[in-house]
Amino acid sequence: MAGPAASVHEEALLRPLSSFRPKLFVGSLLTGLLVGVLFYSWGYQIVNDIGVAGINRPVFWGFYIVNFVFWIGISHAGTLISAILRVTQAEWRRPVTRCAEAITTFALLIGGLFPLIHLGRPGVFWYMMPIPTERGLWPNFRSPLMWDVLAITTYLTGSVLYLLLPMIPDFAIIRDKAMREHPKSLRTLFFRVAAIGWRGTPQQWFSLEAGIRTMAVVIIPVAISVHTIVSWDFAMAIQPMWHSTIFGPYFVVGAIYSGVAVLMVAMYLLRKGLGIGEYLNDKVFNNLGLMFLAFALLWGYFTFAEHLTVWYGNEHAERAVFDARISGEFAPLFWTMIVVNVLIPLAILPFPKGRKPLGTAIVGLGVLVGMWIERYLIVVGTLSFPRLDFNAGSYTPSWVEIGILVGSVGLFGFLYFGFLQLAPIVSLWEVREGEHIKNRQAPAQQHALHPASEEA
Amino acid sequence: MRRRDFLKASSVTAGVTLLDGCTSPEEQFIVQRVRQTPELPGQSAWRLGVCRQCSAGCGIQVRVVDGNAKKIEGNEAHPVNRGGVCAMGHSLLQELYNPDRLLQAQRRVGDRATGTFEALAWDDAIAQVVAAIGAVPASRIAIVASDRSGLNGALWRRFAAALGAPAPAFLEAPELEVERRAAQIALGTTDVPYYDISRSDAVLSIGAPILDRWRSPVHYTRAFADMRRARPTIRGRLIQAEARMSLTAANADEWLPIRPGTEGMLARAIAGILLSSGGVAPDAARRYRVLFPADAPTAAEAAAACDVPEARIVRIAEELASASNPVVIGGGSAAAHTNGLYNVTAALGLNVLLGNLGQEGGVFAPVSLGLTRAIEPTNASSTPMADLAARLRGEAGEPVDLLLVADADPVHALPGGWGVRDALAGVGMVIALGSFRDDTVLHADIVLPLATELERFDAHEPPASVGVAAFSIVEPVVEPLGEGRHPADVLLAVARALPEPVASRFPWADYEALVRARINEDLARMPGSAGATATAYVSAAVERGGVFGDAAPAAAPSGPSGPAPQPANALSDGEPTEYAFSLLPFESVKTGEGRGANRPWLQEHPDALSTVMWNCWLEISPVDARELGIEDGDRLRIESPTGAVEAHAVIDPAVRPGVVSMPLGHGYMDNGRYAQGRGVNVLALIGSTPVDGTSAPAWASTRVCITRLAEGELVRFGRRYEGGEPEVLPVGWAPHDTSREARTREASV
Amino acid sequence: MTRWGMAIDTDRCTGCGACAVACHAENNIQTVGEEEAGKGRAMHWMRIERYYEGVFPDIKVRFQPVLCQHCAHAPCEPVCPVYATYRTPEGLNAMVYSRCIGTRYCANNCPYTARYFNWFSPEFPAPLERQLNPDVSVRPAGVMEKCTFCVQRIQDVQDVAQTEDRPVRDGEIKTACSQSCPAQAITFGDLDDPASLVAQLGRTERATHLLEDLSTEPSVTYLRGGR
Ligand SMILES: Nc1nc2c(c(=O)[nH]1)N[C@H]1C(S)=C(S)[C@@H](COP(=O)(O)OP(=O)(O)OC[C@H]3O[C@@H](n4cnc5c(=O)[nH]c(N)nc54)[C@H](O)[C@@H]3O)O[C@H]1N2
Ligand code: SF4
Ligand code: SF4
Ligand code: SF4
Ligand code: SF4
Ligand code: SF4
Repeated sequence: MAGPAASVHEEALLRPLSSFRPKLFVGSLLTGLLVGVLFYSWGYQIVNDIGVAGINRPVFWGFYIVNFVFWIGISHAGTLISAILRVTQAEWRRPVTRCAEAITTFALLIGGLFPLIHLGRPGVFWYMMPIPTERGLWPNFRSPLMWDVLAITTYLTGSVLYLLLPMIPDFAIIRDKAMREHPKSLRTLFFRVAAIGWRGTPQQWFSLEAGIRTMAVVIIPVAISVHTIVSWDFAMAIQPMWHSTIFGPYFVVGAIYSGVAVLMVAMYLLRKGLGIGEYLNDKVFNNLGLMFLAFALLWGYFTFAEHLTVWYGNEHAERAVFDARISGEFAPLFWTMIVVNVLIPLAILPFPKGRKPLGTAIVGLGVLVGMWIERYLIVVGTLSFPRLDFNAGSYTPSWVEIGILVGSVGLFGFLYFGFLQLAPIVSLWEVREGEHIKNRQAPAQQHALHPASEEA
Repeated sequence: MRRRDFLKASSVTAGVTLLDGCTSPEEQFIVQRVRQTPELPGQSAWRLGVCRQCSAGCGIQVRVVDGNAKKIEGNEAHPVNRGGVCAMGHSLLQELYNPDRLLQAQRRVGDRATGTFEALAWDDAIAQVVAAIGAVPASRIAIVASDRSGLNGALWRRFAAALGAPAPAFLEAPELEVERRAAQIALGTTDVPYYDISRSDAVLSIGAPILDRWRSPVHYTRAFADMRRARPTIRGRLIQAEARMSLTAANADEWLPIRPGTEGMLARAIAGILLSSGGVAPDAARRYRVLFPADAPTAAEAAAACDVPEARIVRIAEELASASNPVVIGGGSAAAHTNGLYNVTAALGLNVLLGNLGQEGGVFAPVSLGLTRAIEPTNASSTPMADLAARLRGEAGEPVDLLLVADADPVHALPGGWGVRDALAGVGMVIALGSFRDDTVLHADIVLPLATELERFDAHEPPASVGVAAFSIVEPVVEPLGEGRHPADVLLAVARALPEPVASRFPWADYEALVRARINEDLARMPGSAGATATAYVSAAVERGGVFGDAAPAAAPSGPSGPAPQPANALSDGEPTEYAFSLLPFESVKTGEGRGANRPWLQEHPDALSTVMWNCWLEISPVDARELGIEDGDRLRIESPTGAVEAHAVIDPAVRPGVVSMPLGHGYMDNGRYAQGRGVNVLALIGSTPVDGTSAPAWASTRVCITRLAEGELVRFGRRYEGGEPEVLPVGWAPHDTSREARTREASV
Repeated sequence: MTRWGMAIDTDRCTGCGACAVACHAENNIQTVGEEEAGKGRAMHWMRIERYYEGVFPDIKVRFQPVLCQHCAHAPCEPVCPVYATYRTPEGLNAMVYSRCIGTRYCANNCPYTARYFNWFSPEFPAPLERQLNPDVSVRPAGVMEKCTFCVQRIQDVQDVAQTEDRPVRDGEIKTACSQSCPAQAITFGDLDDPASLVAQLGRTERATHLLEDLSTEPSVTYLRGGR
């Protein structure tokens, strides 16, 4: 291994990859059970038809769309945050990027499942694919749902690339270590393949960095467009309190807000569970906590602006939805949301003491609940109050929908636990790079600091 | 070749036809194929029929594809409905193809009322019925049938007379007896008159729910619409005086939510105003005095009694007086109080004062072709239903050893206070003609299935006259699904198998033969029969759906035939101190009197006002509900002096405080998967008090008390009442009136 | 061109509901049963909305039959990702059942809540299925549906007219609801033919449209009641 020796703490990062970790095993098992719940519920729905969900007329959309928006929102954790931090060259980002980018990829995969789960006829979902047929039938690109399809596939492709690219040098580090220790093992083979021949040549470093730099720039507008388009699923419709110009930025802010929230919670758990406080240290929490605070303020402001205009405009159909939120059947949810999304963050995050791991994690957990409620209020709140109010209705989710929601959280955890066992959750080379920059090494010699193949 | 020729010879009766030995089976098969499919496979044909889902008897046409009935539409040539069909009429298809229909004769094998039957061959069933009739003294036979008027009614009377049995009782809307008697007294008509509302400009209906399931729902709905919109410059107005917000009241231009039982007082006060206005012709006033010699109450007195502002009573009287073609209708719940006869007589008497007897837009005498005359027995009477119930209970008249019920469900449809359900336990033999396991069939020992009107030859003269002659004659529309037959065919089959002297009094092979014979004999008196042979005349009638007089109503009622009953206050069954609410049962367009209960289309059809589906309910005003702590959907116990039931609450802002209503037609023990165990039968609450001067049950006189049992929920299609402040209607809403007042409403439900 | 439209006279309509049952019979619409209906899944392509105005005793009831308005600018159409709902050249908002994948977006975006979804496949216990209209497909689970203006009846009449080499006569096409209506409150016809009854009714001062401010340009005209 070339370059400076790895810090002692790197061992903590590599341990989950090489040895049996009871905590990880139990975690995988429990979340695996939840994955079972997810697929049992979904299978049950496929066999028995979509009617086993609680959605109805007029609440044609329910938990599935709420979850869809929620998970796509979560997916803004990683890629966007890490990209912004990379582009702005924030040095403290280094231990955070990997775990954030993983969140993005897994949340996107799960979010992308929900439209499928939601369909009345999932077997023919491919009618939405632009597949040439002899009938010349093409999807309808005027439909925001088609924009979703395009945006989400683009984002998913981008995010996966953006996650994988910076993993290559780390895979090479692990490969080299594994080659030394167990040259014949299956794990070694996996990392050999995963490292796709990385040797750390200047050419490779140059390409990799160019790729990461490009992706970081490209992924920002893509991410913004994704949640803007998700918001347009609603804003393009003429339903009361959906048809709103604020929805694009409002959803993006909400998405990043929930993304930071999940990141705070995940970092807290990683720090506790893996003992990697050296990397995910208080400075990282403090800095992200400030960002979190900024988004709490932004989100609170957007929510206020949205509701103020509706109230002031006082249009019949919109007021029905508004009143139900403020003082009607949805008021308990609405005010819970305000408490966990605005009041609690504002009570904790402005203070340096609050921006410690535990404080930010608690706020993060609350914001996750609050942001899920926000989506529920948007989807179910509006649909419960059609313009011809003879048709007003209500919605109670069925066990299938609850099972799928819980199962999706399980699936996220399961994927994450799996990921922890395949790649170091903190980017090894980026941290090493950071340390060297700190030690005033000349940037031009960077490549020498990085692992090169000992295989050749 | 005609369809019915084939159908007669078709599979179900093939055995009988083969015995005729006239043709070889092969030949028959070929003939049948040809006749069965006059149209190509997949092609549709429209065949005329008659709807017998209620007594109105609308003319229908049925789309038939590949031998299956697909759709019912109205026969535009038919004077009863002129092309319209009601919700119930459509659902006839779900009677025809009901998965729970009895298609074969049945014999009871288990305990009474458990409905354990086994199939019985048709001929055996007839033989057993004949034997059962022979086994009891004729005086101990009781017959219940459904059509009083027309050939069917006459046949049952003839049958009872031939047996020497007491006259049959007819199951019909209970207040009909009152309406009929009141019309005799006030207008001198033999039956309920025809109200020519389509040509009227001011209609006052006192209690009669003409747009609900009253005497001829489609006819009067069309007439009502025409009254409003068929004339370019005249828009008639409907004023509904009725304690309940019925569908009719909901559509009225003005609703008087009158205190129940005071309808006669309102009518008399209006009469008083008319008389003192000096606008009444002396002759009309004289004739009115025959009815009501006494002075009328003042508007102030009536206002106090009826709980209607005095000024409104005066204005309505003036409106009637100044109208060119006013008409007053009486009936419904107004007829079903103890003073119902007085109420309706007083209402109908107003027509005398208004001088509209036989006038355009007024009242007309019912028209009948009189085909029944030749088959009526010498003593053409019928047993009042109340007397039959008394016989069944063993309290009066001859006890009953054999009960024959034809196409009626007295166990379900009679007041609980009459005790018919319990009394049936003591009846030796119950024979029911019916196709569903309704409450009466469940008690039967032998069940003879009936064909629906789509599977049989039928001829029907609507008992509720529409002012012109209307006698439907139709052939079968589809092949019968089972063994069921027309009730008259069953009667004739039984009668002809009975020993003399009964058999020879029924010389007709079947109902069709009877109808043909009657037309043949009376041909000269039939409208439009000049120069035609009876066969040609019937064929032409079948082509059209029946025999229709095409002239406008003409027959003027003769006028008051005697003094009206003395005014009396409505008595209630139950003390107001103990039973706080006046209960008004009603027929919803969903289930009617129960006929619709076994049809998914109607069960899932939202009631017009409550929008309830698949259940029954109790309508209560928000004021009363608040007082009792009742919330919408709560499960309630409703108790009268006669019985108690449980139902869910519908809080309805249009209910008169102190009055509650429940729909009829629910609470079947069985009656098929769609009806079974759904809701309760409100008639269990109704006592035995009769309307004064008649035998009809005073079903509007019951009082009930209400206790809240538990929280609950009703399945409703529309949003329920949530109270609250007036709101502005959605933009683009099409209100009847664009004024600001009209664009506000208390709340939507 | 032809643009099919309807006029409903609220002064004639009594809210009797015959049209709603007629539509069930004509269009093979499933009944869903009490439990499903309780979840808000009853399907009535034609429904009678009932509103109250005022306070007892001066309370009025308004009935309004509401069906798909066959909007010229139908909000339900552009949002469908697979073109399962679209506007025909004759102005119908049509459903292609076999194409629908059940996103239910169209139903969310219909301001009239006129669309109904098959949450489960229909059941017609024998022999109830013998009543089914052979001209109309039975929709399976997962598919959206709504009033079609009885397109099969339109086509029937057009076929006859074509074989007889003549145009379709005004009033010749009757939707199932308009045919049954005891009050003759529903008129169907070609809005592009100024002489048609439906076009004439649309020009009267009683004519209004539902939620007119949304610019959906409905093909259903409501005639106000009163004077
Ligand atoms: N003379 C004759 N007649 C026959 C037969 C025969 O052999 N000879 N065969 C019979 C048999 S077996 C059959 S299956 C039938 C077939 O008869 P049809 O059902 O008429 O089948 P096609 O004519 O193949 O297609 C019908 C129409 O559907 C259109 N179409 C294609 N794809 C789509 C789509 O995705 N959506 C919509 N809405 N339309 C689409 C086509 O353009 C065409 O206009 O014909 C029967 N009739
Ligand atoms: S009114 Fe009576 S006879 Fe006429 S269609 Fe309705 S149910 Fe049939
Ligand atoms: S059938 Fe006619 S009168 Fe009855 S609700 Fe429908 S539109 Fe109104
Ligand atoms: S009424 Fe609704 S379903 Fe019908 S065309 Fe308009 S938007 Fe579409
Ligand atoms: S439910 Fe069907 S018709 Fe409606 S938008 Fe989705 S695919 Fe299109
Ligand atoms: S036009 Fe046809 S499909 Fe539409 S509501 Fe009327 S009957 Fe139903």
